[in-house]
This record gives sequence, C-alpha cells and structure tokens, in this order.
Amino acid sequence: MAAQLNSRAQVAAASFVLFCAALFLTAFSARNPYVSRLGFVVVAEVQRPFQSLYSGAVNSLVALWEDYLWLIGVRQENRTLKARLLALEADNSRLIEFADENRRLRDLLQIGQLTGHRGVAANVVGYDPTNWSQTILLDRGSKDDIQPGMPVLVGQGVVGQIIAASYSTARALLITDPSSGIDAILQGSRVRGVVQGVANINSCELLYVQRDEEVKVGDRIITSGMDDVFPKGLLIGIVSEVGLKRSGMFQSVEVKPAVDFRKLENALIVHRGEGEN
Amino acid sequence: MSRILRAGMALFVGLVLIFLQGTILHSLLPAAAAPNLLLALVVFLAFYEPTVLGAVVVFILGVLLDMYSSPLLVGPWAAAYVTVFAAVALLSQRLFVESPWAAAISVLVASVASDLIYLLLVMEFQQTGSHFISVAFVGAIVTAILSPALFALYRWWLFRKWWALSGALKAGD
Repeated sequence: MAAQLNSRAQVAAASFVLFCAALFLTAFSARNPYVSRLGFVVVAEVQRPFQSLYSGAVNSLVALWEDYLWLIGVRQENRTLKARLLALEADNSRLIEFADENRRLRDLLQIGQLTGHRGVAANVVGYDPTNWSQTILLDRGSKDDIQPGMPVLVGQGVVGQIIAASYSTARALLITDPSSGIDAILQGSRVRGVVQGVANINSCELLYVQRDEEVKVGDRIITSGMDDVFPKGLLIGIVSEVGLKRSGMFQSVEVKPAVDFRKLENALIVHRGEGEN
Repeated sequence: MSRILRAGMALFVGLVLIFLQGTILHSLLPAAAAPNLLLALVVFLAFYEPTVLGAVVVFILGVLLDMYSSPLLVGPWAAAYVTVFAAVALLSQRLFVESPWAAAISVLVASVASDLIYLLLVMEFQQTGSHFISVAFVGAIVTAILSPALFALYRWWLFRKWWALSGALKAGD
C-alpha cells in the first residue's frame, strides 16, 4: 500500500514537473519562433524516409491501376491537360485584373502590368495530424532555396505561405488557418481588408471592412501586395456571405477560398523577389 | 531493461502514429472524423505504464506532435497529454482496465479534456478557431469507439511482441 502511494505520488510529481516544463516551452517558443521551426526541421527529416516510402507505394499502386489495369495512356493525357488547364486558369485570373486595372489607369493616363510568377513546383505530401492547425507539408525544402515567408500558389489562387523549411520538406500555413492573415482588396470596389482563416477549410473571413463599404456576394477578393509576402493581384476567394453585426464598425464578410484545399495535390512556391518585375 | 525497451518502442509507435494521422488517415477520412490515435496511446500508457517513465514518454510524444503540427508553439500538446496521463494514471487503479467500456469512456473524456487544455493554452499565444465542438467532440467520439480495438493492438504490440523480444535478449545475455 505504501509502495503504491509512493508510486502514485512519484507519478503526480513527475507529471507536475513535466507540465511546468511544457508550459515554459510553450511560452519560450511563443517568443522565439525559431524553436518551432527547428523542431519541425528535426521531425520532418526523421519522418522523410517514411513519407517517401508511403508516397512511392501509393504512386506505384496508382500507376499500376491507372496505366495498366484501367486505361493505358489516358493518365498521361489527363496530366497534360490538367497542367494546361491550371496555366490557363492562372492566365484568366491575371487577365481579369489586367482589364480592371487598365480601365482605372486609362483615366489617369498610366499603364501597369503584372507578370507571371516563377518559383518551385512542389507536391503535397502530408497534412496537419491534429485538427487545430491548417497546414500542409510540401516536398521541397532549403535545398531548393525555400525559406519561411515565401508565398504558395496554385492556378486557382493563393494557398498560403511557408512557415518552416527543413532540408527537403517545407510546411505551409493555409489561408484558412486562424493564424493566417493576408492583406486584400475587393477587385471591383477596391475596398481593403484582411483575409483571416476561421479553421474551416471551406471558409475565411474578410476583416476590417467598414459598415458603409459596398460589398456584395460574388465579389472577387485579391491580394493587395501591401503585406510584402504575396504579389499583387492574386485571387484569394469569392465573397459568399455579407452581414452587418449588431454593433461595431465593421461588416461580417465570409469568403469562399478560390482553392479547393481538399483536392490540393501540387502547388507553386514563389521565390522572393521573383514574383514581379 | 524491458521497461525501457517498451518505452522506446512506445516512442517509435507514437512517431509512426503521428505520421499516419498526417497522411493516410487524412486521405481516407474527413479531418473532423479522424481518430486521435496518439491520444489513445497516451491513455493506454496511463493504464498499463502509470509510472514516471510513462509520463516522460507521453511528454516526449506531446513535444514531437507540437513540432510536427503547430505553426508557432512547442509545448501545448505536451502539457495537455501529460495532464491527461497523470489524471488517468492516478485513477487507473480504480478502473478495470481490461474492460472495453473503461477504455472507451476514458478515451472520450481524455480526448475532450486534452483538446480543452490545448485550446486554453493556445488561445493565450495565437489565434485559434472557435470550432471546438466540431473538432473536439466528433474526433473524441470516433476515437472512443475505436479505442478497444486500438488498445488490443497496442497491448499486442507493446507487451506480447516486445515482451518476447526482450525475453530473447535477456536469454542471449
């Protein structure tokens, strides 16, 4: 009996000490983000062989089924067409912005232009194992000059930004995560706001839109370029719901992201300084 | 020695579970319905290894999960899991740990409690979504339903399989 009590007391004491250690670690990492990044580097590189094994096994099974057991050649054709479609969608988004900007600047007798975005293509190899963060793992890392702060895009729009990079893996924070905030403007009315995630993969929120600003369902929301992370003119999402809160200065604007994150397989990581000429 | 080997094995299993939750489970199931395999392992360790060594293993698993998942903080999951481990370990002597009902209810309560502790800690330092009900309860129910099967798997892997190996190692000495 006494031995049992001692053991329970030891477990309680040890747990208390470890709890305090965890609290200290939490507070320390909050002030020093490099702790989280360093930890990610370590864990990501340890898990890399398992991920490669898993990705290889899945790709082999899929290739066996689609190339030999299902339809021969159609998979390759599908890939080619998908890549062309992504490129055309990216062009379409830029052309719409070109047309709007052209109309505005023609009145002021100025002409501007946007260029394409160069970067590194990456595959999505993992997701957050908990449901409390909206992050993805990409199979590019510091060996490809990937650094925290780089934007991640697809043809449909903005995916997020890199928050940690190991040698061969990078973690990207999706725009749907509550920690994510993107400076944005409405493409039509040029109303400014900040797009913040609400931990729902199908929805974001546009904050700081004043009550008297004109916002309607269907408005396109693009990056403003003012946050020094995302190039200007990239599609973030579409306004899906507008509401006036009972009190306060701002409207409640719900945004449907342009990117379907549930089907995200590839993305482009844009190198800083190469986004715009 | 066998206890240390089992602790090392539990750490390895935990790392594999973190990987599984971030890849295969996420691909097969909606995020909210994915079971929390790691939490089930924490409760299992509280039942079958309610010792200081078990607490250290749980702490390390929590830190590994923080490193792999959190965009900013390292420590909240470790704190949550250690708290849950301590609570279950101290109560385990009053429970019939072989019962699937005890496993399911313990895992359900532990899952909700760990999510609540995590949310309280994280809210202090970073923005987080107010989706506690959908994330915490749905995941907890799924994990609780699967916990008897998970416990049987962990029991077989960590005790019978490793016990045989550690016995062979001892015989070799």
